[in-house]
Amino acid sequence: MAAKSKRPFGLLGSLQLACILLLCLFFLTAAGTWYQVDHNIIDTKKMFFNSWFLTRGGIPYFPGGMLCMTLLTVNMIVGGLFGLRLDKKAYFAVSLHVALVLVIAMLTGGYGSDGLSPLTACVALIGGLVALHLVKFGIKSKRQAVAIVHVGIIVMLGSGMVKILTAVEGHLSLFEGETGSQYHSLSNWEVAIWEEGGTEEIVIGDDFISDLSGDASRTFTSPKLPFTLELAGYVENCQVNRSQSFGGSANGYDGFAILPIPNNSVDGVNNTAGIYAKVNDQKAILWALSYQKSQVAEGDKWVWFREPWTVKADGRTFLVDFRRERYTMPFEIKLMDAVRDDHGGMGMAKSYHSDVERIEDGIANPVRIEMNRPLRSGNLVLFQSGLNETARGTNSIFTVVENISDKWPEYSLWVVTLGMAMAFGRMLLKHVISQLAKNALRTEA
Amino acid sequence: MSRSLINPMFGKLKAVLSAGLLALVAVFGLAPSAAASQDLRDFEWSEEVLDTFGGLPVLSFGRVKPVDSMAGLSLLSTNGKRAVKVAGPEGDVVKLDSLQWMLDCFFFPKQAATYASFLVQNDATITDLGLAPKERRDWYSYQDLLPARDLLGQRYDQIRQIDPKQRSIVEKALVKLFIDVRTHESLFGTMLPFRSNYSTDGSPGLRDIYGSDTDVGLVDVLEKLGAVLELRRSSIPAGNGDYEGIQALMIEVDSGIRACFNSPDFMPPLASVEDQDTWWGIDDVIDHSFELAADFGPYLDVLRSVEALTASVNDPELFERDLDKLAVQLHAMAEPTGKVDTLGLEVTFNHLKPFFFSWLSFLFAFFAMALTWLLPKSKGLWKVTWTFAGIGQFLLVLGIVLRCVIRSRPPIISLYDTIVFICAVMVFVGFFAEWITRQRVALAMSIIAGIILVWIADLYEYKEVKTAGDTMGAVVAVLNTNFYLAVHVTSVSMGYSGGLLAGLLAHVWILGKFFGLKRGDKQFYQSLNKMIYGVAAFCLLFSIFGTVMGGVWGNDSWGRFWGWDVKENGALLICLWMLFSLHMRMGGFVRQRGFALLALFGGVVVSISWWGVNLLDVGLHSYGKTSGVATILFWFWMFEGLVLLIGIADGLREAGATAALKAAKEKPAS
Repeated sequence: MAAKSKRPFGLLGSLQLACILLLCLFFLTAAGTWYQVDHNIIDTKKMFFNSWFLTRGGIPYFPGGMLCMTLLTVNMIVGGLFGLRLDKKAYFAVSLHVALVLVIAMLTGGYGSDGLSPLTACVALIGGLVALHLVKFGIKSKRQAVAIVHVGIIVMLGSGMVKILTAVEGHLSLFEGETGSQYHSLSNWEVAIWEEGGTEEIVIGDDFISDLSGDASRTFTSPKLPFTLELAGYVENCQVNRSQSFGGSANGYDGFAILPIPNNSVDGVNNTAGIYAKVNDQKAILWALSYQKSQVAEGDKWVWFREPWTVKADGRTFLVDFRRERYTMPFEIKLMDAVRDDHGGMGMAKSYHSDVERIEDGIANPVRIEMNRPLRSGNLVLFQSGLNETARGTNSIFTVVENISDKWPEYSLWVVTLGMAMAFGRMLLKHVISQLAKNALRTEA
Repeated sequence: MSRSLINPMFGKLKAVLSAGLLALVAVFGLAPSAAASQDLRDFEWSEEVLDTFGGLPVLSFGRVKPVDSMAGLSLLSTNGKRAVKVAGPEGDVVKLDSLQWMLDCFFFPKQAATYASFLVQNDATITDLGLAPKERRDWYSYQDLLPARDLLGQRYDQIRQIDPKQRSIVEKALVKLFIDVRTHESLFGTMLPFRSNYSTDGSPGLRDIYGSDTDVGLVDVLEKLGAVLELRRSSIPAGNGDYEGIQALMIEVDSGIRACFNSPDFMPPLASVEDQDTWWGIDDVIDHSFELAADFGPYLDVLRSVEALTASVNDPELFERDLDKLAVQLHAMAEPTGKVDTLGLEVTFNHLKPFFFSWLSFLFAFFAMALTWLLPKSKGLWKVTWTFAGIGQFLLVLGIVLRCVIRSRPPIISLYDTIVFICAVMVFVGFFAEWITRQRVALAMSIIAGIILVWIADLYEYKEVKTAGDTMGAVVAVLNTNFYLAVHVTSVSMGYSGGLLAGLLAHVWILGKFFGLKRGDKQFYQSLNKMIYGVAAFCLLFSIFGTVMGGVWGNDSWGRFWGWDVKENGALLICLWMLFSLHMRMGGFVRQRGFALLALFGGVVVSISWWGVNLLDVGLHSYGKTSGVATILFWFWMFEGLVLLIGIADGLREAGATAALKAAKEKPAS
């Protein structure tokens, strides 16, 4: 009975399963690569890499990337760590190695583009640990090395999962002389409501909006609002048009409807979301045509407003805006100067950089943000991602990412490298010694 | 560089500058029938002239390089070779190297226009222009193309409207031909402004400025340009006819600018200028002479030397002295930019041709090795093989190191670099494996890899120069980090090397078994399999490190660790395949033959990642889509497919034979 109960664990940690999963991932990656010839990256990710199954007509026919990676993580934990049946001493040694590498990597992390010294430190540390290990355990340390590799890969996959679950990413666009502390999401949307003349906003986040596709709807109430807001029919990229013009029937939104269209760009940055909104008997289609502004279709008057939707209730006037989700940084950024340097005689950019002032608690510190040299502040990082010369002046675009697992892949890389160097170094050394001995014998003979 | 013209008339004239006008300038200046005897070179360029000329600094494709490099790359780009064959004085065929060709373009353009220096790969390109083609792939001179020059310009304008991805082969070839023709015209026209005199007797005011000599050279005109402009400002209210005279002179000067439009950027920036990256051609200097005024002195001195050089072209001794003087001036001006320190080294590199001689050494090593197959007991031949292979590797590494020093960059910044680097790593790993195993297999594979890859590098150099202008050229902004370039790109390339070498060794295992090499020597195949395993592990180690380091770079540059971009996926495919192969071996799911087959396919996966995904032309890393690569890849994959099938079929045959033997053994017992 005991043996039977262990079987599922045995299968989960088996090399057979590892091989099957690796092969599945190989085919998924190859298919996902080919798919990009005719499809954008968002659709590719949805279909191959962020899915549990590949389906046709609702019927799954191949495991998706998410399923394969989850199972592979479980396989590594069950088979690649606990399945190795190391003794306590060996597990302690593995933990010690991993901990040491992680600590050193963290201490030397964030080396950016000039970090040769920290790199040398990491390489020296790994080399030292490999050497120590070989001295201490001789050539019997294969399992421990394999365990270290698996720990590193688990941390790497885990960091990806943490990023998916917790990270926030957006754009901050500033002209020279402008100051900003809010950045806008690239893919998430929000509905903000505030009373005319007031400053306090009630915000409905993307989590409560993005699932309202098709016939789904949700009603929102707040003690601060004298009305309820009903949202329905969310579409992540759309056009708003007369419903008959694209084959639909006139509906309750004064003959207008939302027409879903394919994603606008490879990363969805240029998408324009739309949603049906209703307050009592007042209706509108909220269509976010730019980063900040909403547009409202008003009946057959064919009037498009670049302002938020105005709602009247109990004699008070409220404004409803549908816009990209906004996040506030703990400091302000003032763009002082944005520069693009070209290679001589060519139109090709050599470098972009933005000289900014980071203003916190009234104190301004000058910082330069450029390619490969972002501004880091805790888990918040500002990257130079674009620079445009416009009639209004030079406009610098920063990608802002808040991610607690930002450096984890880098740390895990050193763990994996240590493990692989130990595993393969050990085998190579063993092989070289035996082969040289054979050669010597052959020469003598 | 943006040109700010003070003179509004010049702005207007610049606006009407077109390829058609340029062609006319070229036609009038280059018509061979009008060639006077002094327009044809009747002497050899001396070694001293070639050395001095080749060492001049010039900015080309975003990099300051010696003229020696620029001439070589320009000729390679249009002609497919660094030399051009021309008719000699006695009807024989003479080979001109790139420097001689460029000097002729500058100083004897009418003669250079007769050189067949345009390689046209497809005769349909010539037919499209209404000209009579020669062979399917042939060389044409500027003179041959001249009747269709206007049509070529029109076709270029039409084709530019078409999305580059939608252009046909002939349309792409026409675009390339147009660019090559323009490059030639720029070279032909470089010295033209100095060959004419300019009339300064158009008005009394001009005569006052320029004195009795009313037919002066360009530099004399420019020297007194400040006074001329001042006179023009005052001439409009005066109405004394000076304005018309000055305008006539300005139009003549503008013709000079147009004649040398887009000429090579020989003129270093002045030390007083903030932008030290922008160099000027002669047209730029003339153009900017209107605004520079007081700062124009150093340029005027250089222009005077160029003018003297143009005048002394038929007097070799004087020409040599004038060229030396010009070289001193240009080097003195270029020195403060700090970009000319490695010019001498680059010239040495060009003359040394380390990759060509490396290839030659590998070829000799191969012949020596082939002889050892005939005389296996000859230790001397084996030493000769090692020696040539060692020299080949030394030259290969020397070439890579020199290129690193010349551009102050890690070894890989272009696809061309990857070929030579991967080759060097493969040869090195092969040497190491041979040193351990001493079975003469790893060394043989190293030598074969050396011959094939250096040859491919040579072929690809032409492709890269054709599209990017240089193999050490400028890089995009995101590559401005030597740290990540050094760590990520080299690691991934080392992974490629391991995968390819493992695949190559797998060929020996599979084909050796099939053809009965060392039949019955189980130890040989076991040892070979271990070697494949070791090299595959090397591939995995560097592929994983390099691939993840690429993610770390992406995270540091854009906050994006992994984006499933096609190039990232290509690298991941190698990691996944090698992990799969090693786990299959570790689990005992495959034995020697199975692992050899997996390693062979690993080589195919590397080729997909290295070249294949570039052909998809999508994603952030969409570089390196090169014509001709798809065909080569296709045949490579076909060949690998064939070897795989042979391996599988041979395995089935072997299994069948073993089963039959086993059955035969069991039969008498039963």
